Amino acid sequence: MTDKEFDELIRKSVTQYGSDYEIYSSDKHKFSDRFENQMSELIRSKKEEKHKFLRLVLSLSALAAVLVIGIIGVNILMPMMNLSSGSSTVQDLKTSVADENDVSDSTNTTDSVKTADTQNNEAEEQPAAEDAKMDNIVGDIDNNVDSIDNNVGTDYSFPINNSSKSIKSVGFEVTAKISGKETALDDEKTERIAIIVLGVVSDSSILSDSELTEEKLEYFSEKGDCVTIQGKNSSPLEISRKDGTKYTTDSVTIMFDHNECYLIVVSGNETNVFSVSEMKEFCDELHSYIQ
Amino acid sequence: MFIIALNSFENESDRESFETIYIENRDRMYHCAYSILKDEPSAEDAVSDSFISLARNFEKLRQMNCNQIRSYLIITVRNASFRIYNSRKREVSTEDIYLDEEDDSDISIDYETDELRKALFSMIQKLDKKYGDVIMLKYFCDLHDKEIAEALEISIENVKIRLHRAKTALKKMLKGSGLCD
Repeated sequence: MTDKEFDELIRKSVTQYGSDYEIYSSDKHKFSDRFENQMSELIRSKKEEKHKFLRLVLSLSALAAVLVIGIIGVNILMPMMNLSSGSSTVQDLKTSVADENDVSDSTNTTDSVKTADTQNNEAEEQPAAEDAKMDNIVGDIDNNVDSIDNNVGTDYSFPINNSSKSIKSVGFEVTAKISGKETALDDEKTERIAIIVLGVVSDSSILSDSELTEEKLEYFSEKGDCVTIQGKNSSPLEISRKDGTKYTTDSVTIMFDHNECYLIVVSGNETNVFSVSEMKEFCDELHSYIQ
Repeated sequence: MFIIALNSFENESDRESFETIYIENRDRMYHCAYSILKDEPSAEDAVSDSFISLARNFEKLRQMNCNQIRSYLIITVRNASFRIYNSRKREVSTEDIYLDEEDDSDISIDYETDELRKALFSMIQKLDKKYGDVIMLKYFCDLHDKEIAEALEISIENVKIRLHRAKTALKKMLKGSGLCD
């Protein structure tokens, strides 16, 4: 019988008889005043809180409406009032507008030849300048990737923003455990572990479904060393793979020992297990960071 | 704590559902907690802890029927009671994490009968509660490993371990019962 079939048998069994799992008396118990008050008071306070919130929203809406009316009044009604205040003012306005047109005409004619020339020159110079700029950017990216490759000690490039400096700005939290016990990490180690873990996950070519058995998984979760990386404040991690695909996960955990390495990708409610046993160096390096 | 829990409700109807569940189940939960703690205030604390857990997972529990919710609450209140019991004894409850034996109990079943399902369920009831509970939360309440971990306040790895051990034990019991090969 396969695991799936056995799971299905259990499911059918508990679905059929599960309501008898635990039977306790439902005799009325006289709960203490402390308990009763705690519940009723908290629910009531929450409702009052909701009413307060509604009142606040209404007040803010009214205030916003007054402000909008005020702005409309200033921008539309005031000029209209000025225009209707006398014919001399209107005449002054017309004169000033005419003067402005004259000025703009003269500037247009004098500058038009110059502008055309400079635009032509700029058009010739721009591609060269952009090329040079692009070369610099590409150079920077290459440098960053090189430095990450050096850090990782493998040829896995780090995909997120192509820069190790961007790791902290993305906001990661890394925890590491040795034989089940959490170990302290300084900023530098945190950053380097993040580079390694995400670098590995990003390269889908090294990930393959493993025949990892539950026993082995238990072994690694209990006795193996592990590092877990997750977004700060429970924010999801978006991981871009080398092949261009992206996926989002709550956290990435790698469990390993000196001989074997398994990659456990915990994503939402799913746990996928991949074997990356060829990555002995990577395991050793990770181990050296969390020691 | 309750304020935090109640803040997690999206709307008034959720809050009303919560109150209904609370009123319908609190006595049963209290008796379960009291059977472990033998102390009224502590039993009430365990009940309130469980309702906080319920509120936190209300999104998922909204889809459950009343039997599933009752099982969930009984399991969480028992778990909360054991936590209180252990803290009272100033002992930290630690998971027995070492595998004592290999899983060699592969079974083969020719016909799946009512009798077999009933026998299997009575075996689940006979399991140590920490293993029976994960089976019930997984297959009866239909929770994911992560949700079980949150409900029982253990790690996901421990959930997997308990599930594995529970299934291994069930296979052995089934084999021993002669209901399968």
